[in-house]
Amino acid sequence: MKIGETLSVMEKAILLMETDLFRGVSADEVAFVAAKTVEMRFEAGEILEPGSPARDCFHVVVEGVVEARLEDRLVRRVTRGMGFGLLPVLGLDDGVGLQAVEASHTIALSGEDLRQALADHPAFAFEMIRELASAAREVVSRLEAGKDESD
Amino acid sequence: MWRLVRREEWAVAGPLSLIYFLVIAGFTLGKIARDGLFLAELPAQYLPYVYIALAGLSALVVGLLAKVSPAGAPHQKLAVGLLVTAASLVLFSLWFQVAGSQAAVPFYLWSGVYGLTLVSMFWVLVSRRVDPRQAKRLFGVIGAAGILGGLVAGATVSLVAEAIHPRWFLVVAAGLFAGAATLAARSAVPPAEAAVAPDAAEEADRAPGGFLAGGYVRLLVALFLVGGMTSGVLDYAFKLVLQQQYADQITTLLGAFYGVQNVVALSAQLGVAGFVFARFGNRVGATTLAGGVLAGGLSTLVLPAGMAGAAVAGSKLFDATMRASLARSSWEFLYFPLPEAVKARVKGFIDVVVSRGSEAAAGLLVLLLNFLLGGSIGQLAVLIAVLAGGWLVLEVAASRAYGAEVGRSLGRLVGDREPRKPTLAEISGPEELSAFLRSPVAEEALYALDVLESVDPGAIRANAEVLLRHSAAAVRARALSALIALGEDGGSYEEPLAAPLTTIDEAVVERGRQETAAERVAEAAAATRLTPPEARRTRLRELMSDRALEVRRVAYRSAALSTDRELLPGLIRCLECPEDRGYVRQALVLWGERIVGALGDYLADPLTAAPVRHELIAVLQEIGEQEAVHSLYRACGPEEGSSVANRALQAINRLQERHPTIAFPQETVTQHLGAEILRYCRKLAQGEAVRSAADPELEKLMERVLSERAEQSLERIFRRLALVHDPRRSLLACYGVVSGNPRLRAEALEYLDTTLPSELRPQIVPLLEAASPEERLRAATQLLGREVPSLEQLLAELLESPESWLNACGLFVIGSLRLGDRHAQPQAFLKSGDPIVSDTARWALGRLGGTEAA
Repeated sequence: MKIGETLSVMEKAILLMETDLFRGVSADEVAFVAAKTVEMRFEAGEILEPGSPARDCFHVVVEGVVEARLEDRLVRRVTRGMGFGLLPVLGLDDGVGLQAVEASHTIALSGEDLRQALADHPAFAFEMIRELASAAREVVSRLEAGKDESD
Repeated sequence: MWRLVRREEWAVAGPLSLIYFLVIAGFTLGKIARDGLFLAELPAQYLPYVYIALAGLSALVVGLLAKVSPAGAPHQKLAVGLLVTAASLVLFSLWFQVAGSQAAVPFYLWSGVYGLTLVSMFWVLVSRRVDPRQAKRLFGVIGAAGILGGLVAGATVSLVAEAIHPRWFLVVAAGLFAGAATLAARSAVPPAEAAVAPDAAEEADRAPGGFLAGGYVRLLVALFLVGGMTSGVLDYAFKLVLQQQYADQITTLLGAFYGVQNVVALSAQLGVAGFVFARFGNRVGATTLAGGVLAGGLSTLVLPAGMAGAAVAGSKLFDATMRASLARSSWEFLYFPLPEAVKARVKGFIDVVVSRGSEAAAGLLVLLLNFLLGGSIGQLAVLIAVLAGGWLVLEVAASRAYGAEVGRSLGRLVGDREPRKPTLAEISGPEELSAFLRSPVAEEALYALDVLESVDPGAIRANAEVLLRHSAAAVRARALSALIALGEDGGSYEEPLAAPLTTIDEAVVERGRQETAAERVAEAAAATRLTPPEARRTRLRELMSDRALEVRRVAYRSAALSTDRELLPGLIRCLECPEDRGYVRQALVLWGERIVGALGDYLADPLTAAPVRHELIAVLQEIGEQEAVHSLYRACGPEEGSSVANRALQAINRLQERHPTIAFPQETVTQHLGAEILRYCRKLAQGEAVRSAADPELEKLMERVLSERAEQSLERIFRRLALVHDPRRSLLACYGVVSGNPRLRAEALEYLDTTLPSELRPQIVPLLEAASPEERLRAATQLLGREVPSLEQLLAELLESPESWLNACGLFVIGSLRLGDRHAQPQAFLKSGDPIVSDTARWALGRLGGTEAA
């Protein structure tokens, strides 16, 4: 993993605005959060080891592909404009393994900065709750669909 | 007038106009047949008895309809009413053929009831299909269609009357009503527009006094009763003048009179109704009528005897014309704010019972006048003037009550309820948590302290002794800190603290630096008593930056209790730490009104970090005195356009609700409101300017930025409005305007249109009422007095803005479009105190350098 800045705050903000998490947050607040991010680069095949600095961050992919696997099962493929790493940052171990399958470039917000952003910008906190609730609903729907099929 | 109607509105206005044309044409045919058949069969002396019977029958029918009326939408009720009437007319036609004069009186009575009932039902349907804003544009067209229906029916009858027996007119009228019923059945209210409280009618019935219990409804009843009586007396005076002065020309004069009346009424509807309502408000027609009749009555008194007849005839023409056109439309507006289910009953009662009752009351007044004084034209003029004066007062009162009633209606539509606070019982497990407070396991006790401090502080007080004697120092420190934060006096815990902590007194402080967090908490609590002040200040500063939050929170409180203003900047700086904010806020509130001026200085300073400013707003809101409001208002002056201004105004609005006595300088707030409206217009115009940038990513960003700024500005417009108007309703209007519900939006606009001062109304209402973004932009540029700015002008405005975020956006535009000739501008922002601005300036210079190199 390499850390180095090539994007301006505004370019990072534009990228963050594409994610669902920031859709309802005002542009200046997004820029405020963007100013706290750092750029990280991962080589193709690089694993984001648990406990590494990269795993203590919420990432949004600028370029490349990162895959999330649970016990060798692919659960998510993260591409440009998509985020990953939210649950560990919130202190919840999701047990997911992360690997950059292509050379990947992300902007990363550390756990501490994320908590600060949540405290400073209630709209961001609201969007995060909505995003998590939406994910939970999706999981419940899938479980119910599976239950119906098995019945 | 046609131009005022929007293209999409013709889909509603067209069928409604056609229905009204058919209803009035059928009604006119029935009326002509009624008079012809009655006068042909029976002497005119029977008429007064028929009038009295008609008033009684009307009350009976309305009461009966209220009891047996089928549940259904207004279009269904009108369709059924029209079909029943059509069938009855056919049956009456047959009865006349078979029985002749026997049917005359029953038909006279029936026609007196069905006509008014159908017209009333029709206007109830109109009020459901058309919102108050559309009504201003459409009532003129619909009313004109009705007048035209009357004219066409009258003209047709005059052409064929010689050849056809009047009973055949009933058959033709039945056909017209059947046609109108077919159209009415297809005029259902779209589900999206239906916003009805279904139990409103039942609630109204259950209330003491039924649907007449409301003050507004009673005012309407009084208004139409007095207005109808005035018109009845005027009608009698007019006929008396005709009889006394033009006995040999009555028929000719009446023909000319009704011809002129219809033509003038039609012209008024087609020519000026829409314009008058849009320009002067919807109540002007009715108040002008009452005022005009009053002026006519007074003129009759002061003019020479020879001219009195002309004055009476002029008044009558004015009354009849206005009643058929502008006033009629004006009165229809009064029913809009009533709940839907109640509206139909109130309207039916007023249109039929009150209308007939007012005619009967006018007749009784005339009889009384004739009996007591003789009933000369002069005496009648005095009576008319007195009645018209009362009528005018009631019209003005109704206009004022209408604005308030629209506000109430808006509240009903939005759901005007106070948010319910959750009870303790709804928050899970406080009893179990209380048990944890007594747990010897430190983690359990700490968890319970954390939760119960906000949910049930009484439990912490009740377990204070156990907690302060806990074997874990962390629990003791946390408990003491919580108790002090809850306002308990640390000294009262001397005994339990004695063993593990010594005591909270000077001895603790004198002993020097404390090793454990619990001891430092005790020291922080006692620090207010430390002397000299310099030593106290130094120690509190250290404790305010202690590594343990328990210590810091007590130190904040002690700093506030010390009232040492030297500690204030440090305390405000601590607001930057999210973990400590709540405690710092509590301390500042405890410090109270003595620091509101200083807090206002920090709040108004754009260099203070936005999250800190947000916290200061919360502190000032909590302090809540008039001075705190002034400090808050300093952050929302006319030049302030950031989210801080929105939050400060929001805090002020909340304080207004809590303390209605808080006052604002009306003139200053109105000036700022005007400036805010112009700012909103500028943001709309700037949003349009960026479309010419020819860079999709940049365009997307700038559209988002400027539309957010416009939305914030719009919110501030309403929040400022709330400072000088009814705060709750102004904010409900804001909600209504931005809501996607067209009915709610129309109610909100109607509320603004009726309550705003005349200098603001023409600025705000057209902007908010615009049907499309293009129309809104036109209204904005018209108000600004300039066209959409060029990209160059937009850049200048962004870079000169006091908001650093907009400066950054301007720099981003320069860099994105590689505007090489603007090299100096990013240079000037390189040393900006805002890291986003300086970063964007650097990035823009990099982009421009690339261009130049290329």
